[in-house]
Amino acid sequence: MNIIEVVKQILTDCPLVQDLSGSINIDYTEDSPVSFGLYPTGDQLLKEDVLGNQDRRHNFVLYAVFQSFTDYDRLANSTFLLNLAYYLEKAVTGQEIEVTINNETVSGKLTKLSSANGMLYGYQDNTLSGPVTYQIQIYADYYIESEGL
Amino acid sequence: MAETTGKIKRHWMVHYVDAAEPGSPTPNYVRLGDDLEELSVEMNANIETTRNILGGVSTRLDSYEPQASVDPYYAEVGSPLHTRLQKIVDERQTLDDLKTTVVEVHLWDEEASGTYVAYKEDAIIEVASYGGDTTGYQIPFNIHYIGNRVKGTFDVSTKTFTPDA
Repeated sequence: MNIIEVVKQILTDCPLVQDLSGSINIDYTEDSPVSFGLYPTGDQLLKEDVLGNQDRRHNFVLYAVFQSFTDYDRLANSTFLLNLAYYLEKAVTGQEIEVTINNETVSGKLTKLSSANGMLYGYQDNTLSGPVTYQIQIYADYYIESEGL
Repeated sequence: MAETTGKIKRHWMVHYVDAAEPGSPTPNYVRLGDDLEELSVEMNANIETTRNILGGVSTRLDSYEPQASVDPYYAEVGSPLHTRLQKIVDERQTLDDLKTTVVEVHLWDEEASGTYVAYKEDAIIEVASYGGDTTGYQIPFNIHYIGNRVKGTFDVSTKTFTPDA
């Protein structure tokens, strides 16, 4: 699995997500609650050691369409994002990753998941009483081994 | 091994250190470089410069004291190098207990399939500190090259050094 598939799988397996929806879409969210969409937003090289092994980071935004009738709903929504942030910090168990570069597949592993900017992102129908979209940015740090000898 | 033309990639200059106990009949070479964004052998040349009565400068370089700093080194369970370093820390080892050998392998200079030009040298391991931050248990160390440099070849699959005849 590549880094996107691994992060999608971790989110799909998250009990918090399973309690609400049980599925994670890629680059897509439905209009009606509850719906989750994982949007990959790019990959970057953090550092490379003298052996050619790389520490990389893949950035994601998770959008979640929730209900928002009352303060109770919105508190529950924000609490979901808070609990998801905690969950992600503990979800890394060295998951294996496959990276294909120029037709050459190298192995790697997930090293860290972190998140930021979990917040209300936008309304639908210009009203807070309908479905609303929350976002949380997710950073997936991973390590890939060099071509070897 | 990729074709070696043009500028030499950093990972083609390979540094191995013997993680076996001193006196062990067979070396256990471990490749250095994981987590290291930079690894340089400082030559530390001994240079004497004198000005003569004619107004000229006479410079004499008579020796080197090479040294390399391996920092960070993240300890890994099961790694022979970690075992060696941890023993140095735990037993506060000194003198001959710190002896080892290092091999520098030139991956751009292939002698036979999987065998490359290499130089072996005696060395001393100096553990600089241990502990570190929350990223993991670290044992950064320095390698002091102490001479007896021998040219030979290194087989990267068996990790064995063979001195030139």
